[in-house]
Amino acid sequence: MRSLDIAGTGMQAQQTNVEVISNNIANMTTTGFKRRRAEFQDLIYQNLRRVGSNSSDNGTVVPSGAQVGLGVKTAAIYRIHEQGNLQQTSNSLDMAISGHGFFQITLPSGDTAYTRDGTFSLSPSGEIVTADGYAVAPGITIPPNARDVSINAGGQVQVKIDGTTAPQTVGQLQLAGFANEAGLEAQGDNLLMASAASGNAVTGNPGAPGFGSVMQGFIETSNVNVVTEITNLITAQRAYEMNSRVITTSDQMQSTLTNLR
Amino acid sequence: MEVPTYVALSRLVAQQRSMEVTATNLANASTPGFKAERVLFSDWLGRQNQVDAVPGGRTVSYTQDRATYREQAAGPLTQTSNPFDLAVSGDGFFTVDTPRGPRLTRAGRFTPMADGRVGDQDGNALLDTMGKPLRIAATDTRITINADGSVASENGPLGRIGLVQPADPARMTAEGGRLLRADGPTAPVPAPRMTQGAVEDSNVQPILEMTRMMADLREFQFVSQFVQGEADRQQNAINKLTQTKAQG
Repeated sequence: MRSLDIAGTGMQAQQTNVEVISNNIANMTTTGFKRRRAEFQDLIYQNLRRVGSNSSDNGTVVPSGAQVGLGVKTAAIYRIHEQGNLQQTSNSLDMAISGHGFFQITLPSGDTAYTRDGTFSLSPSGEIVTADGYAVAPGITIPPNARDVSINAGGQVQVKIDGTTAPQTVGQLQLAGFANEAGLEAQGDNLLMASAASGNAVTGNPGAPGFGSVMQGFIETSNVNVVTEITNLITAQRAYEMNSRVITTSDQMQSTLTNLR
Repeated sequence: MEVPTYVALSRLVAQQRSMEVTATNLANASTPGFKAERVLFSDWLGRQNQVDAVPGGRTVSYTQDRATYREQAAGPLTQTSNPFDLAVSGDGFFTVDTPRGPRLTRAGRFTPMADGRVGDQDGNALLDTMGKPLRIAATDTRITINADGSVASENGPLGRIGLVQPADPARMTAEGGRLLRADGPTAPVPAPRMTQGAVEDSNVQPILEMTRMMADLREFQFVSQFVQGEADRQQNAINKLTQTKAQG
């Protein structure tokens, strides 16, 4: 009986859906996290009576055939790159991007990763690094005798050195943009990697056309909307239950048949 | 003598088919752009004896599943805030270019691809009104898609997404992957209407499907009881006949 398998695919799909929702809720307070959404599509169909086939020698055609679908499958789990809220932290090395773009991070392996999480600190040598100690590219070093780091919307990093009055520029942050942000591959630790689907990174200064601006002293919270997630969770649970009812019903039909003489 | 059992059997088979379609609908209750399917049964007349009797008086008809059709009602819109999510309001289908030729879909879940085209989840390019893939340059970051399908960015207009409508919406074959193949001629929708940042959910109404499923189950049990009763009746008849013979 096909309906058993069909409902099985439905339950599997809803299980994936709940997994995606629980990951969103778990990362509700993760800085720079982008919520994900499971996307489903219908599986192949069995043609029992093909639409458009001739129903007589005179050329009359079947106006609408008999097709039985065979269930559902997960097509994609994609990220929604909607801007998260900006939260003030007053930490001079916290940065949020307002608009498009990603910070570039140099991994220990030498590869470049991309992130929206701008909670940066200083390394022992004075370099701006992520919470894991990976350098923010292009490398910017704050001199040890510097006070008052200020980063403007255009990504210019300026410091005041003791004994001087004019601020001194020590570096320029650059952002990376992609043709298809949803195509970036998540690596965990708030890091994303470029992939064939995302296209190559286009770098530019913050505030340039196509790039967002940098806000010092703010972090970008996740764009998870709890109300939406809970509503989705309820829907997914109900859908799961309904599919399990289909299995029960199919089972009852089978048992009816078995109990026939 | 076997006719009542076979008539009932045709109903049992049809009922199973109906159950399969209900299962497909429920499994796809959260597939964007999915349209609920329905089965269409018709009767199939068996050999008629005494054709001069009152019409209907002597006919035996079996159930036959003739067709499945899709309900064309619009599904509810879900807000996604994704600039390339499009929901069609009213008639019409998006056209995507697949290796097998153009296909229609109501699932407006698109995404820009690395080569600048805009595609669906399987990488099939979305076509504009001229039948060419819609292209987005890397410098186009703020995409606006108007209700009439025209696409623009901060660098100016980029094209127009067209909607098509088959002359007969029933003559479409579902191919899975949310794609439909038009088996007849299609024509552009004169005044397309779409909403950016939303997707059309499936129009499956779970409550309706559940009640349909319960009705299917009960009917299935009822008909199989009839089959059982018919078997008992035949057994009974055989017993009676053989008894008579034994006594005589």
